[in-house]
Amino acid sequence: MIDRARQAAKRLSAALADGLLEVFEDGRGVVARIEATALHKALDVLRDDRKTPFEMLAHETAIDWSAWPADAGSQRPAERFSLIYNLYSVSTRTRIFLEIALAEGQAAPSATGHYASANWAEREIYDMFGIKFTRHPDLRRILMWEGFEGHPLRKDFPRHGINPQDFPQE
Amino acid sequence: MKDTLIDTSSQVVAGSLEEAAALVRDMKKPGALEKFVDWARMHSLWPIPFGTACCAIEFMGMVSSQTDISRFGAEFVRFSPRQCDLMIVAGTVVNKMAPVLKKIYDQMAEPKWVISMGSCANCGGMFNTYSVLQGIDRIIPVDYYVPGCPPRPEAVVYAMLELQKQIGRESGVLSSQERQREFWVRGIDGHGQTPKSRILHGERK
Repeated sequence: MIDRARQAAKRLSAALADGLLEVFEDGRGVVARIEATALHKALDVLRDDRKTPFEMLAHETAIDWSAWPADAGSQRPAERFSLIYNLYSVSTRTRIFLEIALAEGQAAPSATGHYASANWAEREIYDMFGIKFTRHPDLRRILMWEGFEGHPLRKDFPRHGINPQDFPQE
Repeated sequence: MKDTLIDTSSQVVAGSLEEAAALVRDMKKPGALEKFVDWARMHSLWPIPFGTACCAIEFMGMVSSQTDISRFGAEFVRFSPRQCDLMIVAGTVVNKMAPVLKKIYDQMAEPKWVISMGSCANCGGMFNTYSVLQGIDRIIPVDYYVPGCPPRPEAVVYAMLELQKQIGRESGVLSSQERQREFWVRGIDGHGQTPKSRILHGERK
C-alpha cells in the first residue's frame, strides 16, 4: 500500500513541478507538502489517478503551530497554520496526505469542488480555526452557534471563551 | 446486592391500598386533602430522561430489572415532556443544548421536579470550558443533585426516594413556580443560598 502511495506521490510531483515542496514519510505514511495555489491541481491529479484513484477525502483538518515549543523535536513551520488533507483510495486501500502552510488571515482554496465531504470539514475548520475558504458554497459555523465570538481551537483562545459572561451564569 | 453503596434492593415504597384507605378515612380532617394529593404525587412519578452522555447508560440500568424504579411507582419513562413530572438530566449539557433543556423543562406540566444526575449536569464536571454549561441549575431549578461520574443506579434511586419524601412534605400547596421562587430567591433551605452555591462560594454574609 505504501509503495502505491509513493508512486502516486511521484506522479503528483511530476504533474505539479514547482507546486510541490517536498514529499516525506512519517507515522502517518506518505505526506506531500504543496503550495496552496497548487491544491486544486493536486486534487485533480490524485482523484483521477489511473493506477491509484483517491476517491475519498477521509478527513480535512488544520493545525495551529503558534504555541509549538522550540525544543519540541520537529521544527516549527514558518507559517501559523497547516491544512491537512487525508485522501484515501478505497479501491486500492492506499492513503496519502497533503499539507498546505497558511499564514494568519490567508484564505485557503476550497476542496468542495473535488470532494463533497470537504463541505462540513471546511466549515468545522472555519469554525474552530477561523480559516476562510474561497468559493466554499456555505461557509457558516457548524459546531458553535451563530454569533459566537472567537475560534476555540486557536491556541490563544481563552479556555472559558472571550465573553464568558454571555453564557448562562449562576 | 450486598456490595452496593445504598441497599435499595429490599425497599418497596410504592403506596399501598391501606395507606390510601387511611387517608380517605381521615378526609374530613383539616389538611387531609393536601396530604392525599402529596401521597398520590409521590407514588406516581413519571420520569422523563434528558440523557446526553454516559450517565444515560446508568439511567437505563436504573429503569431495568436490577434496580427497578417501578418498585417506587415510577416505571413509566415517557419521552414526551407533557406527560411527565420528574426530569432526570443525565449527562453533559453544552451551551448549544441549553435552550433545548430549558424548552423541554418549560413544556412539562405542573407540578414538576428535577434530579441532576452526575458531575456534568451538577457543575460541568471535568468539562470546565467555553462549550459546556457549568451546571444545569444555571437555567432550571434542581431539586436533587446526584454526585458521581457516572453515579451508580442505586445513588439515583436514593435521590428519587429522598425526592419522594420531599414531595410528601410539600403539603400539595406549592406549585413548581412557588418552589422555583423559593429556589432562586430564598434558597432551598431558607438561608438565602442554594446548597450548591454555599459549597462553591462559601457562606454569604
